[in-house]
Amino acid sequence: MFEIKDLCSAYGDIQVLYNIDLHIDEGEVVALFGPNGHGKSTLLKAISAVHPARSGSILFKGQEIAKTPAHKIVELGIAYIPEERFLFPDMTVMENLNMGAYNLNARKSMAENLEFVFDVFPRLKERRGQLCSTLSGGEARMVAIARGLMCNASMLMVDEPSIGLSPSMKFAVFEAIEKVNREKNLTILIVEQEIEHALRMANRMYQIRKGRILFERKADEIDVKEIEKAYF
Amino acid sequence: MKKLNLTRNTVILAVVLLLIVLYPLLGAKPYHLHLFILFFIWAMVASSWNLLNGISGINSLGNIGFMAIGGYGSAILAKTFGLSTLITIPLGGIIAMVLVTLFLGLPTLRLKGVYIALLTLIFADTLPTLLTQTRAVTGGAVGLHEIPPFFAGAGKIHNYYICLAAFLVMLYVIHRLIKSNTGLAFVALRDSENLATSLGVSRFRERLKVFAISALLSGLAGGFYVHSLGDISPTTLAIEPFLMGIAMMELGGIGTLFGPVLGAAIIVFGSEFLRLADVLRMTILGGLICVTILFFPGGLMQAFRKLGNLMDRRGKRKRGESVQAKVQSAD
Repeated sequence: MFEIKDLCSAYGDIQVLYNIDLHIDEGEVVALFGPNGHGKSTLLKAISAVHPARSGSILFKGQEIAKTPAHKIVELGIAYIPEERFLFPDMTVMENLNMGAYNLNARKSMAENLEFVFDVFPRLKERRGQLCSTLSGGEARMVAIARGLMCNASMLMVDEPSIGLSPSMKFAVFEAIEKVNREKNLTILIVEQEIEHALRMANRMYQIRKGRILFERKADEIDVKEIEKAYF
Repeated sequence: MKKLNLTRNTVILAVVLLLIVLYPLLGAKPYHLHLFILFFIWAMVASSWNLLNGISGINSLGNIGFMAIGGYGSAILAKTFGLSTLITIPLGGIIAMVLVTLFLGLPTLRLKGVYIALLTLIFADTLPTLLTQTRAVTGGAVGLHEIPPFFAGAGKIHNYYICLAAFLVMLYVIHRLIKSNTGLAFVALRDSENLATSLGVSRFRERLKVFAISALLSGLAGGFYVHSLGDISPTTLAIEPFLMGIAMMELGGIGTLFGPVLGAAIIVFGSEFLRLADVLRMTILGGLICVTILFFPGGLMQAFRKLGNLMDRRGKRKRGESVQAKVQSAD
């Protein structure tokens, strides 16, 4: 369903990603691990075309999308939930959700998606009129994920959803992502540092190091020690 | 708390509106009507300017120019070709919209921040030169005089109601726009371009859109300006009106719906009132703006909001409700 071949990405003269190969099947949850500054977020930005790749190919549902501009990617069905600056602070919760359904493909099924989102995050229903700059860290994360769900995408890319959250909030956020995958059969690519949490739901994982894919493992052959070793 | 606030604001608005509507009927002097007309026009200019600078975060310094294009367009069409103002004012707005979208909207797609400001400033600054060089059509440095009124025999009181209606309609349109998907897209691009595009907002389309809408509305305001005042000249594009427009937005509260309107009221009525202070007029206004921005960077609208919140809290305390409840539930 989704396949990256030989992808390279750079910021100016500094190359960050080298010859990335990666594939995701439909309905699969794939985790991406790796130390900070080794290219995980850059890969997600390359896929969403926020920072387009230098070279390489990205196939999504059989279509080449490496040259597609960012605002068209979401319409094709890939939603991206960034790690930093992920909400519009001057908008209310509801307005942020509306922005999620901005693309034409999502507008049609907005009511239905909204119902699902409020079912997953009942707290947001209470707070839909509140300004996002006044939300707590956990609630803000929920809004970001909810907005990603409003995109009506078939694949969700989540960049470190648990960063900076309390343990109980982390748990709630992961539970929500799991529920989304289970009930909507969404394909999910998740970048995380909370390896234990992420591994509970991932079908497969990739380990990134210095901009290269170090190894790939299926859920039943994952060795946490091996991952830890790759970090240091 | 929200409900209380809303009703109070609505009451204030309704009372103010009623007074403005009734004012000419209560025997106002023509001079005072003239001031109000200026206020309506400036409020339109500042509000449409705010769409670019406040809502979309695109630093335009050219909206007085957009207004002048609309004004000149409508004036020439009405005076030279004898067309009805019902046609010339919209046409003036459309001329402004087309020119601005082509000559500013498209080139600024490649620019950011202060460079957009420079380009729009140059655009507005070349207009006086162009105007003095095309005397046959635009009247040159002297400008256009005896521009036909809205309709034959229209007096101050008619101008008052026409401009009031135009202002109210424009404010309503802007209100609806800000709350629409398009308005949200403008704000989204302002706050984070990457995030906005990753959600499907086209930077190209939305930027052209906001330039077109802002120029159209400023151009329309220009039309109402020339037909109620009767003349326009390149001095309309001088530094003072330009600074006044910016001061209105900053003083009232940039990025809010009522901020530019409030700013227009203070600057128009305040500067007339301050004529008593003669040469100190601009100094006093400038001081007021400095003080406001120092204490309330969000303009007077921010000051009012703080005051409103304070009053709500006081009211709650008196009624014995917990003020803490709100703070706790925000965690």
